[in-house]
Amino acid sequence: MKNFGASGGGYEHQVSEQLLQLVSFRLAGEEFCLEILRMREIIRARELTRVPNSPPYVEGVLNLRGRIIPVVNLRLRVGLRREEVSAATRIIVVEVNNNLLGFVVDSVSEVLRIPASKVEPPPRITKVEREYIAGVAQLEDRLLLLLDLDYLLSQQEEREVEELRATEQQSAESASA
Amino acid sequence: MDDFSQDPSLLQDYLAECNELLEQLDRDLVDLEHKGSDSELLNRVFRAVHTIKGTSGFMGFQQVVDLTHEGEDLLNLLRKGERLISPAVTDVLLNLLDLLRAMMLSIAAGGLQVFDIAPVVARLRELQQAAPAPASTAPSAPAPRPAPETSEAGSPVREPEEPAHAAEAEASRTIRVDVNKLDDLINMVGELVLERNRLLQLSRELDLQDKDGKYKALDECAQRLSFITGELQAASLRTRMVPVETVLRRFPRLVRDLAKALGKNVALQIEGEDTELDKNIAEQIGDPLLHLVRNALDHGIESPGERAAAGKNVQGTLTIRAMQLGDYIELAIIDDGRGMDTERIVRKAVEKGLVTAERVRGMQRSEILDLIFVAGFSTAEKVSDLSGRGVGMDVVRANLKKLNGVVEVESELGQGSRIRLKLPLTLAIMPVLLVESRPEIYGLPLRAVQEVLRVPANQIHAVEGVEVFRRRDRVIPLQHLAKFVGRNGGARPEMLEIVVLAVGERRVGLVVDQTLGQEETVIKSLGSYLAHYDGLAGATIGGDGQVRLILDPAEIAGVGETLQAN
Repeated sequence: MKNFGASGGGYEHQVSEQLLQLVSFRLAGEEFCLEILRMREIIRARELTRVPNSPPYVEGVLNLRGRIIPVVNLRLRVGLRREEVSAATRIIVVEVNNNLLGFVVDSVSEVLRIPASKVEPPPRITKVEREYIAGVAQLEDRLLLLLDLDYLLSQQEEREVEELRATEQQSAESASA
Repeated sequence: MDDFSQDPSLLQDYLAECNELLEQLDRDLVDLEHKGSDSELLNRVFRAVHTIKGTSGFMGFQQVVDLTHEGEDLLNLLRKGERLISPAVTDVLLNLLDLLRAMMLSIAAGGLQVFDIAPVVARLRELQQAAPAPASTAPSAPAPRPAPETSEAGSPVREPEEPAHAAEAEASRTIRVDVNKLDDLINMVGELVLERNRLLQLSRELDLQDKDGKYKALDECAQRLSFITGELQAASLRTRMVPVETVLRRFPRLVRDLAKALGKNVALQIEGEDTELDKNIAEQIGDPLLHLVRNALDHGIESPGERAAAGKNVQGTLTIRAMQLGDYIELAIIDDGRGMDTERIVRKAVEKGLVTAERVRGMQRSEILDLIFVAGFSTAEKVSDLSGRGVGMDVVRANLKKLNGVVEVESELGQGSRIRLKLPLTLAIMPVLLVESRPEIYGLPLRAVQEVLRVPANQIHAVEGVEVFRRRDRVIPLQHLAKFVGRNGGARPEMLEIVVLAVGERRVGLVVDQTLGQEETVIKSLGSYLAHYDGLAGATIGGDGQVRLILDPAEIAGVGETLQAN
């Protein structure tokens, strides 16, 4: 499967090098998108197993046909408020360095093809921390935010160290109080 | 000819075979040194050297051929009883092995370099000639191999081939399989086991609603499938089991050389070398074992003078014993040396700030001995070349932990020490005890579970802010599962369900809402994204298809943390 997907993508790139294939999804009223090649599948929200002592944005782990996949709440991850699970809630499964990772999003909209030239550097007007946005595409009356997956994941460890420090400080303060 | 050495898979097979033979030779030669002449052993040694020569010729490594050829000549004389085994003979043969090993390394690194084989060859020839049997040629004779040609009476080529055939016949009953293929197979069987568990659960649920016996056949089928799956799993795991001998092979040589270097007289006994364990474990247990053996030789066993003064046998004994005990393997390293001095251990541990003097007072002997595994502890007064290299027993324990194993120590001053490594039979399956902290279910590795108790709440006491209870003259601290997994526990019941966990010498009572029985689980990795969260030993998939987390008993017992926090 993976091979077919990869070669299909390669073919696409050869024919019209400037065309991006994106999947768009909603998060707190804004429209985000990810390159389709990074995605494995989209599944409905389901019961997860909570992971003790993990950061709040780690919702838990799920069993995807025998593989155990961590699931991150994308809202919490980018600093937005949590939203109750609804019928539209989806988990987008992406592949990063041979690991699968799930992102909880409000809903998934559609698959888009847009010319790469339409994507511009991000402006400073979104609710989301700007670093997570790799680019912005204006499509008629829609504004699409292209999520920077690698950035999201590469910052992971640094953030955790910071969080750990913060909690340690807290507990030290409460201990001395 | 040279072309074969360019074929990577051929080359790999060649190196694997040679290295295996070299390990076996190491051991056989040391054995030979002890036993004097043993024709069976000598034949095996000869056969091994001959095989290396043969395959090396095929691969086109002429230097290896030249060297082994000289060795073969000397061995041939030994086989015929025309020369006798002596320390000088074993020494040069061991030198020959070392040189061969260096050659193998160089081949593995990209190509055979030019080695100076002349000194070893000269020595081999010298021993062929200067010997009890009538020497016919002058020692300086330049002829490549004068001795064997005169003594082999017409059949110089045929004879060595017979033993080689015997080895081939033995080898034909086994095949070499890439471990990755076995791993794939075992992984798939693991998936099958999990699906089997689900099927059984579904079948049980159907059975409950089944009024008219509609699903009886389905249930039978599920039971049968379950049985076969269990057998399949056991059989597939067996394919990856290797005798512990493959790990212990290098130790006779190692102990011989080490004892010599330390000026000690040590006899090595190896017991239970047929005991089988998982190949993955076998590969990773070598280093910890090596460390423990070095420790025993360096710090445990005394010099002959000291031993004589203490009224002990001048020769020390080091025993490595392997055995299977239920569903785990025990490897014991036993020496009859000076033993460990608990007072000195306490002094050192307090000096280094690893533990407070106050805490030590309440410690039992076994707990004190356990201090040697704390990071930063090393009793060696002088840093020796052999075991005092900054890596200590804490590394041994950490390595064991990675293998889901434990290490324990017993020691009597003046009598010796016994260090026991307990290892699971396989890394693929872990029997767990399921416990509930409503509404969540967790697994605890069964090897760490000592007992499950129901204790009335009024028997729980608080000592310095820590909840404890008394069990067989031992005070065991309590930990609450709900708190450990970051939840608030509900109201406290009158009876507490407590799982007593044993981690090394440490005990901890884990308060759970309920225990739900045992289960054989297939351990899955949580992946690198969650790898650095402590407290988890892994995860598995339950009968309901949900992911179930397996907790790390060492984290629950707070190993390493409590000691230093004080």
